[in-house]
This record gives sequence, C-alpha cells and structure tokens, in this order.
Amino acid sequence: MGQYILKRLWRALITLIVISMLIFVIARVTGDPIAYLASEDASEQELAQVRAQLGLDRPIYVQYALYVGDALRGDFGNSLRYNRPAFEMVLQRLPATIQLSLIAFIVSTVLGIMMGVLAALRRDTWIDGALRLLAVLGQSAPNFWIGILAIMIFGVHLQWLPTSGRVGPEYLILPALTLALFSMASVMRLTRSAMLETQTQEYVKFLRAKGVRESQIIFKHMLRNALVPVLAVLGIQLSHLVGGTVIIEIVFNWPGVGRLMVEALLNSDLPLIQAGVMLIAISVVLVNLLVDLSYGLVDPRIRIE
Amino acid sequence: MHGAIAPTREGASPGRPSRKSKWRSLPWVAIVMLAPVIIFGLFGPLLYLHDPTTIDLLNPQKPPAWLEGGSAAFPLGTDQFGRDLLSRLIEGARVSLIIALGGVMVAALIGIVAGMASGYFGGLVDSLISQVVDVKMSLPAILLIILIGAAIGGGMATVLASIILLFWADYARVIRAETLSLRERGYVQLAKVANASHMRILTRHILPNLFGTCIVLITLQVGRAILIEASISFIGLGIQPPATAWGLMVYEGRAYLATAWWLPTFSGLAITMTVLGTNLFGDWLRDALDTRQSTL
Amino acid sequence: MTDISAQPVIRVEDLHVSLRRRRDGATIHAVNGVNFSVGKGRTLGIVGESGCGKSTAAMALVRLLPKSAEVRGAIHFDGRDLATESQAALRRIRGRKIAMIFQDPMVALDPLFTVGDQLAEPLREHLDLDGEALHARQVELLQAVGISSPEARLKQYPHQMSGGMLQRIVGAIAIACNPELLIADEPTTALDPTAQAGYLELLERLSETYGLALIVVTHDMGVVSRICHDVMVMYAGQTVEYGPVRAIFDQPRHPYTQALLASIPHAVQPGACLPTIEGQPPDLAALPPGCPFAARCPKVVDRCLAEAPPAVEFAGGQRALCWRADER
Repeated sequence: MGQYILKRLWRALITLIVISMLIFVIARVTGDPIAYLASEDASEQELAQVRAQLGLDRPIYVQYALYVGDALRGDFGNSLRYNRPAFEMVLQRLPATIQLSLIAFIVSTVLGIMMGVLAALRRDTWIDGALRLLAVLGQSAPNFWIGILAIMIFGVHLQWLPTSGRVGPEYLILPALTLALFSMASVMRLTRSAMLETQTQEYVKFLRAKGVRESQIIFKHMLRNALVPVLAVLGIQLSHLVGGTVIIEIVFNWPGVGRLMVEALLNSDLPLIQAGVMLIAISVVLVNLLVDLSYGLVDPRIRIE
Repeated sequence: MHGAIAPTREGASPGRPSRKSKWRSLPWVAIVMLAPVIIFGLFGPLLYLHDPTTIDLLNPQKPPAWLEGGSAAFPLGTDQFGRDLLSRLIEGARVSLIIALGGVMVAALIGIVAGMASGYFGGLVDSLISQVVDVKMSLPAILLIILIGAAIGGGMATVLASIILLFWADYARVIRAETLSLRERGYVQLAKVANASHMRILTRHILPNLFGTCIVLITLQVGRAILIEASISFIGLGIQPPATAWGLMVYEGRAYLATAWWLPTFSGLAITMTVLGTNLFGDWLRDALDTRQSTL
Repeated sequence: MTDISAQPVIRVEDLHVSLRRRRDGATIHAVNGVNFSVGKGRTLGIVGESGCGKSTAAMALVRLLPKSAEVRGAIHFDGRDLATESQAALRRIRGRKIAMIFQDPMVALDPLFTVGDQLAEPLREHLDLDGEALHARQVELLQAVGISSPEARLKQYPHQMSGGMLQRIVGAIAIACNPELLIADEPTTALDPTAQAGYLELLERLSETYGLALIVVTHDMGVVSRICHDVMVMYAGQTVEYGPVRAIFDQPRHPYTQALLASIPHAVQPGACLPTIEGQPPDLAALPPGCPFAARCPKVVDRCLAEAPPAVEFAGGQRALCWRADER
C-alpha cells in the first residue's frame, strides 16, 4: 500500500506542477503585462524600468520560480477588472462551488449505485429498461439544456423551486440535481454492468452452495465487488462534475468559482484566471487522492502486495 | 431475488444472431435519430426553408406552427430577429457535425499514431508517450478548456483545440493496449522473422485489426464532442455570433424562456437527439463488433 | 451400492434436468433419466466427457441450477425429496447436510474477504456459532484438512495463497457443518499433479473419518480408480454404465466405457497410437431416438438407432444400457 500511495502522491504533484507551468507560460505569452500597469503614453525607458521592477527582465526559469513562490503564498496579483487580490476573490467563491459539487457528487454516487443495483437485480424487466433509458438520456442531454428546462418547468410554470442565486437550502436543489444527472447516469451504468459481472463469478456459486442467505450474497459480497470498478472511476466523475459546475453556475446564477472563471476568461483577466485554475486544480487533485486512497482500503489485493 | 446462476456451459455454445434477425438487430432508433442530422449536415443549404441568417423584423418570436399565432411557413417558430428556427437548426447541424467530426478525426489520428508507437516500439518511446498520456488524464477537462480559452480566446479554434486535446489520449490508451496484445500474435511474429519493415507490419498487420475499436470509439466520441462544443459555445467561448451553433442558440434562447420557450427548447432537443443517436449507435456497434474494451 | 441393507445417504430416481438455452430459447435435455445412490462412507464417481451432463446432475442434487431449469424425478435425502422441496428449505440443507466444492479454487472465494471470514459464514449461518466457539472450530477445521499455522491463515486473503492450499480451505468450508454428503465437481482438475494426489488422499481420509458420502464428478478415469468405490458413466445426459469400480474396470460392458478405458494413456502400449472415439456427442437440444451413443458406437446395430436400450443387470450390482451388453 505504501508504494501505491507514493505513486499517487507523485502523480498529484506532477499534475500540479504541469498545470502551474502551463498557466505561467500562457500568461507570459498572451500579452505584455506591463501594458496594464504603466500609463498609456509611458516612454520605452519608463516601461523598461517597470519591467525591471517586476523582475520581468530576468531569465524565464527565475520568473517561474518567483511565480511559484508567490503562488504558494497566495499572491496571484490583483484582478484586472476588480482590482482586488485575485486569490481572495476566488477563495471567497470557493465554498459555494464546493457545496454545489459535493452535494451533486453525493447524490450522483448514492443514487447512481442504488439504481445500478436495482437494474442489475431486475435485469431484463421494465424497471431495467426504464433505468437504462434514463441513463443513456442523462448522458446525452446537455446539462445546460436540462437546467433551462428545469427552470422553465419548476421555476416559471409550476413555481415550486427557486432558480437563481444562493439564498437558502432550497436554492441548492435544482442546480445540484441538474449537475448530478450526467454523473448519476454514468455511475448507474457502471454499477449495473459490474453487478452483472459479479453474478457470473464462481464465488457466487460457492456462496450459494454454502447455504449463505441471498441478501447476504447480494449486499455483502456482490455489491462490494461491484463497487471496486465503480470506485476506480469516481475520480473521473469528479472531474466531470467540476466541469459541469461551471455551466450550472451560469445557468442558475450560482455565485461560485465557475462563473467567476468564465467572466475572467471573457475579460482576459489573467490574474483571476491563474488563481482560479490553481485553486480548482488543487481541490480536484486532493479529492482524487482521497478517492485513490479509499480504493486501496476497499480492495485487499492492492492493500497487501 | 432468486438465485440466478449462469448455466453450466455443458451443451451451450456462444451465440450469434440467426440470419432472420439480422435486419431486426440494427439499431433503428439510433439510425432514425442520426439520419436527419447527417442529411442536414451534408445537404444543409439545399434544405433551408429560409436563409438562416436573414433578419426579418416583421416576424419576431413567432411560435411553432401547431400553436396559436404560428404559421406553416415557420414550422418551429422564429427567434427574436425573425429568423426561422428550423433553418437555423439545420445550419447548426452542419456546424456541429463538421466541428465534431473534424476534431474527433484529428484527435483519433494523433491518438492512434501515439498509441501504436507506444505499444509497438515499447521502451523509451512507450515511456515518454505514456507519461504524457498519464499527465493529460489527470488534468480535469474543464481546466484544459480554461487554459486553452486563456491562450487563444474564444472562437472555433478554441472548440477544435479543446476537442483534440481532450480526446486524443483516450485513443492513445486504448490503441496502446490493443497494439501490445496484437504485437504478440503469431502473424506479427512471422512477419518480423520474414524481415518485414516496421511500417509494413504496422500498416498491414496491426492497423487493420484496430479498425473495430477505432470505429466504436470515434462514434462515441463524436457525441461527446458535440456536447463539448455545445457547452463551450454556451459559455460564450465557442462559436461566436452571428455564426450559428446549437449551443449558442440555447444560450441566446435562455433570455426568452418565458416569452419564446421554443428557442432554447428545440435547440437543446437537437443536441440531445444527436448525441443520443451516437451513443445508441456506438453501444450497438460495440456489441456487434464484440470488441473486448469495456473502457470505451 | 453393494451393501443393500444399509440405507443409502442419497438415492436418485429417474432424474431429468432440462435447461433453456439463452440464445434461442431451445430446451436442452441435459440429464435424461439418471439413477444412482451413495451409502455412508462410500464414494461414487460420475464420469464422462465434457457436456455429458455430469456437472448438471451433480448441481441438480442441491438444485443449484438457473431459474429456467426444470427438474423431474426424485432425489431422496434425509427422508425428503429434494426435487420438490422449496428453495428456502434447500438453502438450509446446502452447506449444512450436503456440501459442494468446485473445480477452480482460485476463484471459489471472494477476493475481498479473509479466508477466516468465509470459513465462518456457514458456521454462523447453520450452526449459530460465535466468538470463542467459532474460532476454535475454524482452527480445528483447518487442521483437519492439513493446513499448518491455521491462526495466521485465517487472517489472510485468497490472493495470498496457492491453489492447493485454497482447495484445502474450500474443503474445510465444505465439511464445516459436518455434512452427510459431499459433492466434488472436478476437485483436482485445476491443481498441479502433486497437489492432486494430496487432495485425493485428503478426500479419502475425510470420507473415512467422518463417514462422509462422497460424489466425485470427473472426466479422469484415473481419479475414479484411485478413490471411488462405485462409478457411473454418463453420456449425453444418460447413465450408460453403473457399478463397482473394480467390476467395471475389469469387465466394462458398454462400448462407451470400453472406449474410455482403452483411451487412458496407461492402458496403451508404448509406441502404439492413442485410441480415440470418433465423432461428436449429440446436440442435447435435439436428441435422436434410440441409444444416444449409436452414431459413434463401434458395435452399433440397426436396433440401437431405433429403440432406447434397457438396463441390463450383471452380477455384483453392475448394469449397462446397451443392446449388446451381454456379448463379450
């Protein structure tokens, strides 16, 4: 298990380094940062002065080192548009995004697994058919469209639920469910096929020959085995969820990092983009690590080499 | 919840669909959904009822033909500028299809070459390529898109770059695994002994056997690519107005939820149907070709 | 079978099993009228080629068949007819009074749970054992099947053990609740030759020590000659010959048995060709009338193709289903 953890940690570190490098390169390449900072009719001399001040005349790797140093201290500079520290702005919006994606993650995982188990146990019945149809639809419909339909139906026509902003817990319902849809469908399909796979395993036959109760066979043995491949893809599900959050935040006016990022992109607000990308990257990498660790806990073949 | 065990293999042999049901086993639902999109994609300009870009301020926000206020001239209604929705959807089909297919093909090309090189040559080449693939796989998709958006700005280039950079690694991984196993097959070993050049082995012996896997992957990816393009356009980073794209149409239509609901609804429906078609077709293809890759 | 006065542990009468083929719904007649019985402490070998129905017959005894399977006939055990009992009742018998072990030990156990946990399952379920008593019984069982350092082994996972050791553990699980009958479906096929001999020895010892009735399903005549008292030769779902091992090996009466025995490598002179049986077994979904072996039989006559042969009895409890059984 030690080796497994180390490998994962190493991979996480490399990922973060690569992302930071990419951001750094993109920032340097897409424009002269000075133009924003110096006044419009500054002379070449003055510009050169400012450059020296900011260390922009130093070699590129030194600049990168300085950049990383700053980043680790949480200094990404000020947002070009709002003129406030970029890091602070992103941090302020982070809880809203985490809340939304966490709830969506839990809903999609729990519901997805339950539906997958149900579909597998009721294979080839109408329940199975209906669930599979739902799943493939969930993977085909764009989440922003579902969100808009949800707003139309539950918000405008039925007026059951709020559709914009984040004032109270009921504001979470529509966005989280819409966000969870795609993931839920994927988890459901995977769980179903994993369960069906376990049904044909020899140990199930032996368990029956031992006289073990059917419920114990299904929930103690089959489900646990089926969850192993599902757990393996939960990290990918999380990636999709984070991506989906950006879209859902726009559709439902949710005050999270995603919406901030899109705004920043449309405004070419580099410091804000940098801060956002790094924070999102760190969060995703951390959660992936946790998922990988739990994977090792569940499967003894990985835990004990 | 009765015990249902796979029957003992005694007497049973692996199944193949009987002759009679070959027609029935085609995925008709998927075909029905994809056919219009492909037809529109190929023959779009010939099929417009009206020019999708002509602004007609005499007919803004007309509802679909079957509702009160609608007319047969505009079967699905018009948008805020009086443009016929159906014609715009047809135009959007072309755009989505070209971008999705184009992007996926390039991604496939890169990924297949990388995967084959990785699996066939092994060693340093494999090491290097695998590292790159691993790093790419651990990057969340949205971050990649943001980075591309930050570098290039908005527009079709961003969409294409996103599709290519997001999908190439999927091919690389799958093709690498398949190439590895094919490399050990008898006929490849024979060709090596007969001193065939690497190129010859790769093109004559290995590539043809990857065909099935590639086709399935491409079909499924096209659907995903359409979703990506729609999402990016929805954010405002993709196809820019006045060009037509389904994702953009949903975004623009959002403002008219209460007054012209057909605008976002039918655009989104078009996306859903198309992606559903590719998903169903891809699934069927995967089963029909009996590819053993469960990670598709 | 030779001692008629002793009540057999299990007696099967006219057993028929049909299965539904998934791909086209055709009915496969896997077992067609099989009769046998096994006494306490006796071992019966069920032998035949792949697809002859021997495994299906064995699984039918505890009704471990797919939902679509139909079972007809009688399976007399413990004063009941297992062919008509409910699944709930059968579940209480499985693992408790009738145990079953299968071919490949590497996949017989759930890889996610310890060996100890899986050994405890039947003990908890059928005997309600717990705590100290449970642990003591687990250690006792592992020792009975010849596993050293049982305490340590209990905490290990299946992937940490070899095939031979796993099969012993499977055996321990099987005898955990002191069953009256143990059915072993190809128990040594997946083991390497050294482990095979050791395992057969173990089965023999268990049978003697606990008075276990043993049914061994195998395709290997060597296994039959090694530990079985009686043998039933199956072909296309039917019994073609049945009786004490010694008698059948000395004088096989059915052409199929004769051919099987002749094809054992030991029986062949060095340098001579290994005899084979030409042709293929019949399609169990479309059985021909008459004797199922007729198409491949070297002694076939017209009658064989038209009428199903009767069971011809011989001295010592041997019987063969052949029109020409009493010819030499």
